[in-house]
Amino acid sequence: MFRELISKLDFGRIVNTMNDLKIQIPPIITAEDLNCSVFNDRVSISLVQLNHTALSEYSIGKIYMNINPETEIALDDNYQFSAINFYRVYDENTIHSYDSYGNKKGEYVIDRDVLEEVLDRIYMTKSNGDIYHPSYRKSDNTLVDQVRMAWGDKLLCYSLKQDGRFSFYILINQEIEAQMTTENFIQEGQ
Amino acid sequence: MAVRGNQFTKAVLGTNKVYTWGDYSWYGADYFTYVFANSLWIRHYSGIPSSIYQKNPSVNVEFWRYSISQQAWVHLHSYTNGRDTSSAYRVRCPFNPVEDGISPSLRYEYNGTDSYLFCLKHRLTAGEHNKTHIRANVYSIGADTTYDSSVKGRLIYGRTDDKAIQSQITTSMSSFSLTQSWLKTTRGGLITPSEIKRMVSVKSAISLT
Repeated sequence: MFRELISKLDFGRIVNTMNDLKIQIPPIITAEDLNCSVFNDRVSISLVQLNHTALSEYSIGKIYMNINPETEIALDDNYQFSAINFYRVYDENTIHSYDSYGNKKGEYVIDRDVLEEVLDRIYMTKSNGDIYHPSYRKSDNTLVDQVRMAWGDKLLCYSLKQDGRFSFYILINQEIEAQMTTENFIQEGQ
Repeated sequence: MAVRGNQFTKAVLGTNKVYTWGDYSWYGADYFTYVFANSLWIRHYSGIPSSIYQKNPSVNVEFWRYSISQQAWVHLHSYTNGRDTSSAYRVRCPFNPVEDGISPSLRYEYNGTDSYLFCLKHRLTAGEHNKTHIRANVYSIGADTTYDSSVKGRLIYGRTDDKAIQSQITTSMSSFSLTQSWLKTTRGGLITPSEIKRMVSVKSAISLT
């Protein structure tokens, strides 16, 4: 399943999109925050969101690109910019989501300790009400649980979305030949 | 590097890396990496999570030596490696190399004569194990910064087995058998080319004979 998923990703389009990105720096980013100024040597695909309609049928929803330890860029299924998601180091349990014009799209509250051991706590919630469950948590939904088991240790989390989708977040962790620079970011007012 | 017929001197022995091992550090338990050598360097690194949705790696590391005089394990140093943090230890060795693209932070070094068996204990307490890494290097005795006259001459201790590192096992130090053949050395006999690395990387044994 995993190899099949990788074969469906168009790495060339991902690289082109990342290289050509121009994003307004979210207004809550201060001069002390490094989210939009210090980057990994290479961009990597951290996760892919799959929306399953059956055990072996899914569509690719979002592709998450890690650019530094606190910041990711989400691309949509057409490999276009969708959101910049980030946390600030002194508030690591809040992930902010902004569009490329500096407008807030939403935020997530996350408890990463839920990934470390079996805990009866919520892993992550989105401001729109979506709840995200760790991969070890059994679902009462038969299809969701079948898909959860099928992805095994490649699954980070899953969510039964408010809009009815069954979304699964697959660990990819693969570098691509692209690097973010400060040229990809625009200060407010520029 | 020494060749057959050499008289052992620091210059002839050289400072080559003769054994090396590296891998992600394992998780779910205490793990122990044992190194039997004269000159060695070992490093643990905790990296960066693969996504913003995961915890920073955190690993507790401890460095121990087996004391010949006490016939017991002696704790030397402890450290908790958080995100993008390394801990390196060395024994009678001048090197602190960048391996696997990781810049090491030297935490402790041992330059005594009471130990030739060492252990790096680690336990992953958070994060992804494949964002962590261990590397152990064993060098020729010529690298020994405490090089002394006991290594001169054609006859020298040599390893019984062609092995210097036991990587990441769950066998604790108290349960670790000291009579395993790879922890034995023998003295005598001429060095043959195929045995050179076994001879030039260990000077003594679990107990001095």
